[in-house]
Amino acid sequence: MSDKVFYRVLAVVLALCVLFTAGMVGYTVYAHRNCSIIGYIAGEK
Amino acid sequence: MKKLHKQILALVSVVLVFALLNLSIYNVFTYRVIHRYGEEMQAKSITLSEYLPFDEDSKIVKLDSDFKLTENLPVIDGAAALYPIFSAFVNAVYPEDSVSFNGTDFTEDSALQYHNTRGAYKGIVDGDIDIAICVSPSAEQLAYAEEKGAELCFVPIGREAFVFLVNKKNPVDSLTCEEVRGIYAGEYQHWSELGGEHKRIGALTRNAGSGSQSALVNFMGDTPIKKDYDTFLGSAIGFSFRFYVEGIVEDGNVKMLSLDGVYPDRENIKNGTYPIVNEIYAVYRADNENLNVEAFIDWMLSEEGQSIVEGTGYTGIE
Repeated sequence: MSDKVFYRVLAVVLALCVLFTAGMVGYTVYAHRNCSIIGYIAGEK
Repeated sequence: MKKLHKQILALVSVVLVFALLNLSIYNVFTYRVIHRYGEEMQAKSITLSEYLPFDEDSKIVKLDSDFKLTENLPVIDGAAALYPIFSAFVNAVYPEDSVSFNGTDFTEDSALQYHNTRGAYKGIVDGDIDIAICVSPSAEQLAYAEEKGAELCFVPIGREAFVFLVNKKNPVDSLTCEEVRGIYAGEYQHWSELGGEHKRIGALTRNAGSGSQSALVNFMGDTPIKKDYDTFLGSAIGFSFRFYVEGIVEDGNVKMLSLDGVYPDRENIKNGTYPIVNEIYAVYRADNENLNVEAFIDWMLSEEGQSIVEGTGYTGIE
């Protein structure tokens, strides 16, 4: 593919990955605010 | 063709880097806080529908009492951990049509309500409910009652151990009361100072006004609790009440600690060797004119009422 198409595809892939990561971080922050003490301790690895 | 391969490799690499990043976030952070016990449990601290009165499949203690209330039914509310008790009281004494549950909450006209400790204390003071089944109130809840001119009566109807919890993989099984106070005061930073692994200690707390947070404040006495003492990468300690851990949440990944060498089981609550035992109270306003309030509480102290307290998994008043 041409460089122009490649960079467009790369931009879309990057954007999707960043969005997914932001969603994961957002969910984690939300869940941390609402999680129970017992659940938090049980989730330790 | 070679250029195309490089481009595909670049795209795959980007995806892989983000996949690894997200996997790490999930493993280190998200897994610890993910909702484990269902949405209802998450929102209300207990699955109300599992302990409904007048329900064949309910987990409550079912007792057919000769003592029945048919009119002027006191509206009863209370703490999440104690909901199985007061739901069983209602089941034994109230008529079936006195309770209305819409699948999520009790409706306004229901004689059985559930707003957890904070809501129950507020409801008692505001006159929205007649009896709250709770442990000791916080200083703020007492101040609110005083501000509203409400004199509260506290009748002990049972007892329960206040327990400290850690993950089952934590090698520490027992602490002294002074060590626990030291943890919550921020004097100990790592479990290795207490015979455990060299991991940071995360001392978890709850919202002010919850029953167990009030119990922690009472336990700490004049020792101030260090704020925001939490760590994702370390190993946490938390607190609750024994039956809530063992009989309601039932998560095998947590364990209760012995305190001063005494494990928090019912025998050690009864024989008085476990050091932190809290009273379970039936709370009502002194100026409540509904005669059934005191009659109902008297019944809670009778052999039948106490058999519900014991049968549920708590310790009765001797």
